[in-house]
Formats: sequence, structure tokens, C-alpha cells
Amino acid sequence: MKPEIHPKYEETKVTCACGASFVTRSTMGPEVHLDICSECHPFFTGKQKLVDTEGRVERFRRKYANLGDKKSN
Amino acid sequence: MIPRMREHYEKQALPALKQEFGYANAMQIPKITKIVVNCGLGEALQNPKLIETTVEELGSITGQHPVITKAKKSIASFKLREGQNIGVAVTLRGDRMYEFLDRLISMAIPRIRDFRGVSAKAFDGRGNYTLGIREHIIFPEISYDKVDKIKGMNITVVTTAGTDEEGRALLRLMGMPFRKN
Repeated sequence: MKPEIHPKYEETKVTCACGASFVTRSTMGPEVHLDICSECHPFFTGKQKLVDTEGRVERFRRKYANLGDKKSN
Repeated sequence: MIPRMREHYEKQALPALKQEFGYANAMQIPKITKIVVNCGLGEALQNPKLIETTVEELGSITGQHPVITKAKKSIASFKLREGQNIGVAVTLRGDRMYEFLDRLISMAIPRIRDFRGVSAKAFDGRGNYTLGIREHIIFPEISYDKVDKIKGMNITVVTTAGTDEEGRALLRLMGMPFRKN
């Protein structure tokens, strides 16, 4: 490869929010944090079909449960 | 440092391929020759600056300075003259290739919106695979705030596999998340 035209490419430790981590090389500097990786993506893990959704619906209900009361007050 | 993808190929994929297809000679076992990342930019005719930003972005995604591709011939209906800049491309080989594949599969692909697997049919009949990326912001190298225009690109994996079936087996063993049927 032609010298002195390429971006800085160095070892990078990648850490995901799920706890998985690995070392590769990239232009991103020594450390990178991800929200999702191939260890925890539902498609890669064999479809845990959005376990979070239930929690979200519940959280939504809890958040707005007393909305009716407020209006009447 | 040996890229973990290369190690994975040598330790796991290679013996598995040998067993699956029963090759008589070790050199028949398919391997990845190169990965080409191409970003066609017809719009660059109106906006020549687009080429510069794309060179910058592709460079940081792949870790290698891209080449600017030029029009092979003039096409009047596209207002295109021979030699004008109309794209950006990088060819990756060796360790950089394995590292890019690793970053693609472990970091970028899971970030694709509504990801349901990549097509298992996008082979060319001779064992090479091309993957279309709609949004280059799936790569963690690209910071969302600095991007003014979302670009797509094609990623071609060239292999020594003779048939699509062998190419598919190779990529599957390398961890490519193919869609089921």
C-alpha cells in the first residue's frame, strides 16, 4: 500500500453494552463502546423476539395510568 | 496480531468446509480473496464536494484510502463526460480484509434498522457475494452528527469458491447472518 495516504489504523478494543468484547484493528482509536453487537442482536441469538417490548408497554401504562385522574382534578 | 476472523477461518471454517464438500486437495477449499467496497456517486456531478467527504468516510470505515472511480465513457443523457469522478471504491486484502469482515459482521450489521438477515441469494453464480448497504451510518466509525448525506454502498466478497453453494457455505461459516428461506 502507498505510504502516508492512509488513515491511522490501530488496535481497538470493542466493548458492547451486553458485556461482549473483542480486539480488532480500526480507525476508531483504542476503545469503542457499542449499544448492540452480533453477540446480543436478537437475529444473531436466535430471535428472543424483543423481550423488552412487554416492559415498554407496562412502563407506558404505568406512566399514564393516572392521566385520567389529573384531568378530573 | 492475527485477526480473530482469520483465526476463525483457519481453525473452524476450513476443516468444516473440507468435511462438507470432501475436497481432495487443500487448495480447493474456498477462501476469501478480497473484499471490494464500492460507493457509486452519480450525484457527484452536481456536487463535486461529495466525493471528498465520501473518500474521508470510506477511508475511516475501511482503514484504507479509497480510489476515486471515473466515468469510462461519456453519456450525454446523464450529462456525463468521460473521466469525470463518479464514485469511490476500496479493495481490501489480507488481514485488513478479515478485520473489515469482522467489524462488518460484529459491529455494523447488528446496527442496521429492522435487521432480519442478509439475502442468501445475492451470489453471482461463481461463488462471489455482494451485499448492499443502504445507510453508511451503521458503521461505528461514522458519527451521526457529522453526516450531511446518507450514502449507500455495495460490499462485494470475492472468493475462490467455484459455485454459489460453496461460497454460501464459506460465508455462513464465517458468521454471515443469512436470512432463512
